[in-house]
Amino acid sequence: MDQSKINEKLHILPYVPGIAEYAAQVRKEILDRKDSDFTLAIDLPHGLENQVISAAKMLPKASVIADQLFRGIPIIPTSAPVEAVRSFQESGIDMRFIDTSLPVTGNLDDYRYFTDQCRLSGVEAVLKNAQYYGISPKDILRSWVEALHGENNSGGFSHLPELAIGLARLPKFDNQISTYLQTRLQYMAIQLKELLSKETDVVLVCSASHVNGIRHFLDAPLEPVDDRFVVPSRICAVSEDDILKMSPEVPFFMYLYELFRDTPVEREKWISHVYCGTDRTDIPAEKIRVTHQYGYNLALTDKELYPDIYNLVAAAKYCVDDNYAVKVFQKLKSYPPNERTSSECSVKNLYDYNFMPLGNRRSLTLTVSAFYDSPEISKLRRKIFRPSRSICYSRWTRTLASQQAELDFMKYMKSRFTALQESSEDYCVQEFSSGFYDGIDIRETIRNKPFNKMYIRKPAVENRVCYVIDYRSADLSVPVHEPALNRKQGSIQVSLDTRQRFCQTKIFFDKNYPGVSLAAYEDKHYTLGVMVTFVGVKDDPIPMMDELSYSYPLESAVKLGTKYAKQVFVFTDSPEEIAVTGPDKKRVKVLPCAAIPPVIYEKMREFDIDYYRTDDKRGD
Amino acid sequence: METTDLSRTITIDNIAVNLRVPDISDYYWIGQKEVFRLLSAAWLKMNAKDRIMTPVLIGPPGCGKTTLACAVAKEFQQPVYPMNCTSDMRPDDLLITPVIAKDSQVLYRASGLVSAMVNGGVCVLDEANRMNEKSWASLAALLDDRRYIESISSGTKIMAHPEFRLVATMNDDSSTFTVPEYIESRLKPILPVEFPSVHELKEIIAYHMPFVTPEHIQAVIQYLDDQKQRGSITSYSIRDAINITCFSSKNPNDTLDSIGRTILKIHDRPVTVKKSIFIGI
Repeated sequence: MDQSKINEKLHILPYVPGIAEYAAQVRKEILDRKDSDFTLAIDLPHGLENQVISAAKMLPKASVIADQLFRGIPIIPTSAPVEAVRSFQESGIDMRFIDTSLPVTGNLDDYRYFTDQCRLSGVEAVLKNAQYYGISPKDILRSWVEALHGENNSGGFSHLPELAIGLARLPKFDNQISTYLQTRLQYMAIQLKELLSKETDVVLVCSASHVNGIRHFLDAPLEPVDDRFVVPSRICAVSEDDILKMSPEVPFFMYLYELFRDTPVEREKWISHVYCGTDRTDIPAEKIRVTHQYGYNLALTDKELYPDIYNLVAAAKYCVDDNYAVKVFQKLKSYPPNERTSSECSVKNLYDYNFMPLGNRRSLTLTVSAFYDSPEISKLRRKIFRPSRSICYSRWTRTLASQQAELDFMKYMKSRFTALQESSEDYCVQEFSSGFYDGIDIRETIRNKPFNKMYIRKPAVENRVCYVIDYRSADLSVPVHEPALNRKQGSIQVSLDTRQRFCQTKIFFDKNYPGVSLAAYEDKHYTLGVMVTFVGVKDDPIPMMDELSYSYPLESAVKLGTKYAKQVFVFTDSPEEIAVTGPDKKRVKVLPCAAIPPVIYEKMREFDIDYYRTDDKRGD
Repeated sequence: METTDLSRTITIDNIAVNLRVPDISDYYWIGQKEVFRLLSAAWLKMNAKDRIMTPVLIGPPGCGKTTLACAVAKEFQQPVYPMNCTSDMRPDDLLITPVIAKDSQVLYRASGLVSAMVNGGVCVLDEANRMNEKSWASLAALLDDRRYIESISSGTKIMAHPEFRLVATMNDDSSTFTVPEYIESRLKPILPVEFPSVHELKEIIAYHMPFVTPEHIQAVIQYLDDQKQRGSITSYSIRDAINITCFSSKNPNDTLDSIGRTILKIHDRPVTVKKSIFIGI
């Protein structure tokens, strides 16, 4: 056929699969032409017309048409070919599916052999070790094998249909493509030629990656392709969570597209709606603005104009926090029409007809506390578990070795784990070298006038920290015995609670450094379970004991630390027990027990008392 | 840009301020492409009104935070001014320091930060969480729309070059000040940098020491992994791996173990005997 005649009769609407802008563009073009006489050619496999039309009728409920070769056609509102089918249903124009459901090479025996092997060993195993199974990936399955190892190299800026319609930026036809894809392109060209030979115009809705291939074969003399066999397929329902895996489009935007179908796609507004619409009132507007900006910047580094779901969530994670990112992700992946649907196939194993992954395959880790109580639960918890009050306590004196162990331990901790803060009251005076700090100290400067020296004031630095050491998971050099039932009131505080093995009783220290602990004991030997000790804090440790909980030893210890100290260092091997939220979060640093050298760590673990005291004088 | 041009003396508000020379080291980033992309995105500027973000790189010591910042700066073709922050750093040290010269005159020397601001470079505030609140406060105006700093000691107000970029690196080391909340809200995004994979680590060592055989590199990594599994060390940094490889290649007579022990400061510790614990119910 003459090239000028082809150009005159053929109108190509290229699309990028799943992207809403293309679906809107296709719909607009078709509706604009609905009064003229034309045939709609869509690059969907022929033989699947009835299934696609049935599935499209179920929209907005999304589904997927999956075949035995693990290829799938997502039936979603933002799919351009699906939108073309829906427009056909509404306007009754002539429509033809021009792609073919070719079984691998078009050879039925190859197909049967391949599916048998896949059934026996799994498709991944067959594809990764194709030659072992007698399948030549070079000729037959190259596109599929490459898809498993490579990335989808789209031209970028896939949200601009105007750019795709200008055919200059469409992927060039490559002679080295697999037999499979070549056969399909030839088949589509034959079908198109047949349509063009009729009187009417043809509107081709075609994937941007196929356009130049089809055009290439339109000019070439072609052999007919055997299209008798259609790979058995079925319509599968998909769950709300799986919609994300079916398309690069954001599921929530699919829903918004469906809601406002005949209005222009306003992706920027949709993104703003997601970022601003989460129920986190504590996030300032400036942070949301930065998150927006970062999301768009991330998209640009991917050569895209608008961020995809990965970049939207990543921006929320890195600019605000993981909790916000989780809320954003939940919003983005929601697709209300499929809320109560379960998947009838494994969507994550499906590929498109070019054997490329259907959806976004990048992953991001979001960490949220599973122990975080809602405000209602916290209120109930406080109501039910009222804090106990101290009844009585008695004092003892530790052995000299135990006291020295405490000094050694704290000396190490103070030197290694500090949180320096400038004192608002104290300052020190030093000789001027560079910088005036808090100004010139007149008194010292006058005193040293004969030496011609100048002195300046510098704020003193204080270290007000708390160390929470969780010894419960550590190994013991001596076994801990269960307390006798009739234990005496010899310890510091009476407690009948033995639910935690190392937390039989509460003790406090106030000789060198204030601190409280939950401990186990036998006679005069004590073994600590959870210890809270302070540096730079002058408060009385006795009332602090009330705030330690036997039921939640570590959580209560951290809470106690944040109440009295500026910075809390928690050493534990069970970080999941700690639920710190809000402004306290950045004041609590959780480290593994291994962060303290074993020799130092063990020093404070156990201690012995020398004798019980009857007085209540401060010390030990 | 010539280094001599960048280290010139400029006059601001009638005060002569001497600028610093940028870092001329060659930085190259290997592996972890995603974090490179995340940092590049934070520094993207699409038009004159676009605000450049001030990202924070967090991660354990020796994982390559400073290298990453400098490598991205190199990608942006901008001069780099790394600054090491300390707990006793004052606003003067961070901005402009008055220095008494021989003829009893006060000279004003710009820090790396101010030099980067004037020359349109990238300033890397290394270990920024060691800085105290006063120093952070002097940067507040620089980190928001205003984009300027005010030096009290020199009495000058300096506007940042439109291409000026700033990044802060912070590590998990605990000896730090708390970053004030109003500053933290200006430091976005917060990007975690992790240790490279074994394969990436091999590539990094090979890049820094091309004369060392791959078998030698493999042996060093194996040794470090063994020490980690044994519990002699909790973790090791890229720097440790490079140092051990470098030292062992230059001292072939010493065993890897003896070199490793010296560099990693591994000491023999008493073996603790695990005993079973009886817990009654």
